[in-house]
Amino acid sequence: MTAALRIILADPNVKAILFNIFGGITRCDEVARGILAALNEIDVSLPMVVRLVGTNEAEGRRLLEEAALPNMTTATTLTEAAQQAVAAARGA
Amino acid sequence: MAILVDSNTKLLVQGITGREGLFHTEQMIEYGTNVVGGVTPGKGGEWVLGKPVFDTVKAARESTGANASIIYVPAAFAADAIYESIDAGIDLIVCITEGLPVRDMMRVRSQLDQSSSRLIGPNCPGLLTPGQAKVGIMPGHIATPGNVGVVSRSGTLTYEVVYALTQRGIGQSTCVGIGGDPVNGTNFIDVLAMFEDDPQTEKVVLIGEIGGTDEEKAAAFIASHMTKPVVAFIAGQTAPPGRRMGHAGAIVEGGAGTAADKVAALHSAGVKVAQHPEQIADLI
Repeated sequence: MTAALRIILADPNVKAILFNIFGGITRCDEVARGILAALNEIDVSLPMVVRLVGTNEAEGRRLLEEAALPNMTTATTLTEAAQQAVAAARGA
Repeated sequence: MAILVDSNTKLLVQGITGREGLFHTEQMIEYGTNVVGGVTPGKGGEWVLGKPVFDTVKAARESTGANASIIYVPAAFAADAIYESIDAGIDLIVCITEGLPVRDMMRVRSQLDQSSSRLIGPNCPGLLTPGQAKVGIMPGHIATPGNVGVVSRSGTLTYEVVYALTQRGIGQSTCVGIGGDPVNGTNFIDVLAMFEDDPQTEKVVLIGEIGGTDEEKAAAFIASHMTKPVVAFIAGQTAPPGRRMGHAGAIVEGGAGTAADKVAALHSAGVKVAQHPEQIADLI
């Protein structure tokens, strides 16, 4: 996750980051922990939209809500997540 | 009715003592799937999650009467695991494992063709008949019983579509992930034919992606053999030629296998094609 974020952030044209995970074999709580661990290492000021659905989704969402990051919003459906990310990019 | 898996499925888990095998066996049991035992060579005689573990599929089948097997073993051993289930006469073999060499799969294919076993996958999410059996890794809570059959080359897109259908109150008969590898056990046409014959299924969703010609062949089959309406989505509409998109089989090579070709073939077969996965729920 840290490496992926570094690659995305290396592009100055990126104005918002969308994390979209529909977990089958992937577990949403592990993804949430991965995102939070990465954000501990890298300072991200861009707006972020996270959509976590699927295996262990409740635990994943709980972890993100507890972290309560000011520049992170969450979404439920793919369309909603994409719209939020586009709006965030335009507003930035 | 539904297809392939239901409440009569007696499932063995190959690789039940591994990390993924154990976690997903727990999830399958929680869903209500009849898991009758597991196989891990060298661990025969142990018990996991209240289920007996055997050294071989043959011993497990003789002892439990299993008629289906799911494989969660690493890629290097997955072909052998499939062979073992074929030799033991298991009817339905589902291989979740990603990364099986194409050469291994070509040999597996020829063994399958001489047997009475059916293989789903590899590199697939498995199958789910809502309310009856979950054989694989699809999140169970997103599905609900109904009359729409779903067949897909992509795991995540299957979940997206099933989730969108369920949110609209549209249930599914069976959801089948056939996997994203270039050589697999079961293709679109096999599953379309089963849905056509299944009295519970009234409509079918097909989720394809770039690479190969399976969607084109499916379109021809739909035009000539299907009476039930089919709605489709094709992933990879913006994929650059020559780049492999996540799946081993998802690549546009020499101008062949593009999303545009597949959409055109489906349209000419009278299939409605969605612009994005959630739109499937509007079209069905």
